[in-house]
Parts: sequence; C-alpha cells; structure tokens
Amino acid sequence: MVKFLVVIFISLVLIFLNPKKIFNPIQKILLEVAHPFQKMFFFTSKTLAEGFEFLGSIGSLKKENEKLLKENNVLISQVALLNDEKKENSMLREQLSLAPKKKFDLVSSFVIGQDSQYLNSWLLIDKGSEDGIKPGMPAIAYEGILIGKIEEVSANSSKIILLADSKSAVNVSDSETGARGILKGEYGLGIIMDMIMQTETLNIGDMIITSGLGGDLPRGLLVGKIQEIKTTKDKLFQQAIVVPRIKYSELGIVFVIKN
Amino acid sequence: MVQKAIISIIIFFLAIAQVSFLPNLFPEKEMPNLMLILLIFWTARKGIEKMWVPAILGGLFLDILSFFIIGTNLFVFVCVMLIINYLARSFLVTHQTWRFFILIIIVVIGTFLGEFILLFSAKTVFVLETINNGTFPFFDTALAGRTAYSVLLFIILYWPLKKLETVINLYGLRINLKSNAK
Repeated sequence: MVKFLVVIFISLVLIFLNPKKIFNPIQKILLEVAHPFQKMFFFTSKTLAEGFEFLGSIGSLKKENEKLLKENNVLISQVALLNDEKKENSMLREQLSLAPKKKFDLVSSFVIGQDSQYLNSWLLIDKGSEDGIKPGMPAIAYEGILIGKIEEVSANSSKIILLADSKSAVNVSDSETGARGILKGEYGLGIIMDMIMQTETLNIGDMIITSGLGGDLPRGLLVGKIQEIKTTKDKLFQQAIVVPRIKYSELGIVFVIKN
Repeated sequence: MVQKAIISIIIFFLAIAQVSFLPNLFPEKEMPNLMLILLIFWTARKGIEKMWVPAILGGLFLDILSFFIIGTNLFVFVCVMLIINYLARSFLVTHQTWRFFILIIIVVIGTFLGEFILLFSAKTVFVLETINNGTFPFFDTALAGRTAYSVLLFIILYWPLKKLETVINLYGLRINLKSNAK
C-alpha cells in the first residue's frame, strides 16, 4: 500500500510538472530513439491492414468488378462534362484567390504515428528539423486540404496538432458568403467555427477555407463544410459545426508548407 | 538486472506498438490499450509487487510517445493494477479451472476501470470541462467496441504471452545458475 501511495504521489507530481515543460528534452531523446521503430511498426501494420482488407474483399471482387464496369461507362460520359467544369473551376479559383498548391514549397512526409488515446488530436510524421520543418508550419493533405499545424519538431520527426484538437485555433471564412470566424477543435470530437457575428450569413453545406488573417496560414486552404449552424448561449455569436473533408486517421502521406 | 532490462525493452516496444502499430488495425475510437491489457494480465498472474517497475515504465513511455500529459497513464495503470490485484487474489486462486475465462472478465473490468479513471482524472485534474458539452461520453458504443477489441487482443496474445513469460523466467534462472556457479 505504501508503494502504491508513493507511485500515485509521483504520478501526480509529474502531472503537475507538465506545464513547466521540463520533460521536453527527455521526450525528444525518446522520440529520436523510437523514430526508426515507429516507422517500421507503422508501415508493417499498414501493410497488414491492407492485406486484411484485401482478403476480406476477395468475395465481393466479382460483384465489384461488374459494378465498376457500369460506373466506368457513366464516368466516361462525365469526363467530358468535367473537362468543361475544370475550366470554370480554375476561373473561380482565380476569383476566390484560393491557394494554388503549386505555389507552395511542400515537404512530403509519411505518417508514422497517431493519437492512440482516441482524441484524434495529433499525427506524427517522419520529417523534422533536418528537413527544414519548424513549429507553426501548416500541414495539408492532398488537394490542399488543411489538417493542422506543426507543434513540436525533433531532428527526424514532427508532431502535427490536428484541427480537431482543443488547442487548435485557425482563422477561417465561409467561401460562399465570406463570413469570418475562428475554427476550434472540440477535444477530438469534431471541429467548430466559432465567434461568427450575428450579422454574417452562413448556409449549411458551405465550404470553409482559411481566411489568411493573422498571417500564420495562407488564405484559401480548404478545411471542410458546414453541417449545422447554431447560436451561442449568450446569443452574441453564431457557431457552425464543420465536417472535415478527410478522415485524419486514414492519412498516410501529408505535406508541410514551408514558405 | 538483465531480466529487468529485457522487460524494459519489451515495454518500450509495446508503447511504440500502441502508438504506431495498433492505429492501422483498429477503428480509431475503439482502439484497445495494449499496455493496459498486458499489465492486467501480468498483475493477475504475478501479483502487483512484481509489476511496479513495468507499470511505471509503461506509463511513462506511453505518455511520452503519445504526447499525453506525463504521469496520466502511470496514474491510471497503478490504480487499475491495485484493483485487479485484489480481484485476481480473490477469484483466480480459488478457481484455477476457469483461469482463462476469469482473466477475460478481469480484462473487461480493467478496461472499464482504466477508462473511468482516465476520464475522471481528465475531468478533475486537467479540468476538461468542455468535453462533449460538459458530459463525458463514457457509456457509449465506442467503449463497448474498445472492450470487445481488448478481449479479442487478449485472447490472441494469451498463449504467446505465457510462452514469453516462460522464456523470460528460464532466462532469469540461467543467469542465476551462472552467477551461483561462479
């Protein structure tokens, strides 16, 4: 019982010492040691998961094939239509000044670890300070979708704090109406666009993009779309629940914007 | 000493597996806690006295590698281990025939306890008032899934773990014999 109380006391002391960040050097060393193993473990499990998925899908492959052939025919007809819409899209992009990803100096990296406490709050990538990555740099998925910002960097790995994390706060705007607000994480349970003035207009289904205010993120990175609109308890602001465009847990490769 | 070093290395790799191996194999909100399962298993079999060092190391490694508040998992593990130790001494010793099934029940209880202590300490120690609008999603489908996956993982690992335990014990015995011979 004495040992139990001693260990409990130690754990509580450690918990209260956390804000002082005295464990950062130990954490960096341990992360450096763990880095190659984490990489190996992550890719092994990814391969295993893909193998299981493939085995599970063998039975349905024939049906899937027939379905795909039908879909292919439909898609061919749609390609022609989309080519036309592509032109229109690039015109609209120019008008909206959406961030063209070719302009960015991107560092591609593999995900080698993620939040195992089911709070969906961070990802660990295999690029660090040796590749020029610094805290605060935005991280995006394919198609220029913002997923979060770099929080901690070690020599060969970095921690990305995801938009769903409670510490995350990003200036965003509604791409259709221009309504501005702050996007906050809800402890891994979702993301919410907050502090939107009552005079602003929001519509369900509108796309939310980074507004570029504050200067820490480029303008026009896609975040997600509005699922629900509500008013704060004090009736001062509007809030919108935003659904991310991608599932963070399924990301294998992410890009860090360097410039 | 060598035995303790081996156990420390195993625990380090378990923490890495929790962060970098399991997320690809289990749904994100239903991911079992591999370290907790193994600590429950060994506490039930060996008693809490032999498990202090693995619990401390496991808790610290897991907190550091998963960027969690350092000390949290240590707190959770030690609390769970104390209760599991009491349960195991009360039921496991008297019901040897049903050992495997009692261990499964103990894993289920341990998973629930771990979850409860984590959320309780999150609310009181870290003051996370705003999780899910002030209410904790404790008894939800994710917890049921997590418990089911914990049991599944335990069943998969039960025999390999017993084997590993024998190997470590034999290795320790060999080292003791060597030092006695000298």
